Amino acid sequence: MKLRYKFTVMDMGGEFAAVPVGDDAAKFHGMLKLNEVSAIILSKLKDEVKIMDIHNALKEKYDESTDEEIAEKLMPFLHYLFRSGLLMIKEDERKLFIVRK
Amino acid sequence: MLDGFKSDVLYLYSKFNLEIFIMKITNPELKVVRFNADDVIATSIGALTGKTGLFYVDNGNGGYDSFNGEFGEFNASLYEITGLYAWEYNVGGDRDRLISAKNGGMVYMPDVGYPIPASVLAQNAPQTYDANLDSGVYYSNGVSYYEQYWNQ
Repeated sequence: MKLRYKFTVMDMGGEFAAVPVGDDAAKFHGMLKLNEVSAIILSKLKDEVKIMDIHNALKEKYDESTDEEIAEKLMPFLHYLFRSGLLMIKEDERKLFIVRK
Repeated sequence: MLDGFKSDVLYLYSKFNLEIFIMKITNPELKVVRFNADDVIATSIGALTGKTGLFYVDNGNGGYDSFNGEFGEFNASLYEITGLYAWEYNVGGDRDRLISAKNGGMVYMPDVGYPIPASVLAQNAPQTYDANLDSGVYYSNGVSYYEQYWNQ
């Protein structure tokens, strides 16, 4: 999975904001307000990445968190990005996002 | 009788009937996932009381075990339906596998490879529910289910 647009993440003293850059600034009009966790997630998504790569990056940063606590932070944000059209996923990743019969 | 026990109540929508499961809990760790596989049971809670049959229970390892059980007697004062998210996951054929997550827990689907918070699934439900499917995929939190279906 990977972000559809290129963002740059700015640290504004503990709060973070992601703004689209380059040509993508014309395609996505907006800004994402992030916390530290979602900033880490977003930074991993600038290149093609598997969910476990993001999970492990969070685990490295928050080593006292359980895997479930990590998932509880990671999945809602990924779902938000996906529902917002900001996330491109591969076919084998659809099961993480879509319910099907 | 479920004395003071907050039951996992799994709602399953089918094209023909709304099936509501209430089970007599003999093992509080059990999560009922299915009852009498293909049977349409009832559309009212009263019709379920005292029924016995084969329960399919999530064994926590991506599959389910079955055991004989009995429906408990419904008593509204004993039930608390809050923060319940139910997930129907189809593997292969219809409704091969059901997983319930209580009070915002995690749902582990064997071939997804990553735990998904039940609350995330519940949010996705309105976007993916298709009433034209023979057996719909349906999620809700307990409050909306209660308001919509419980008093039928």
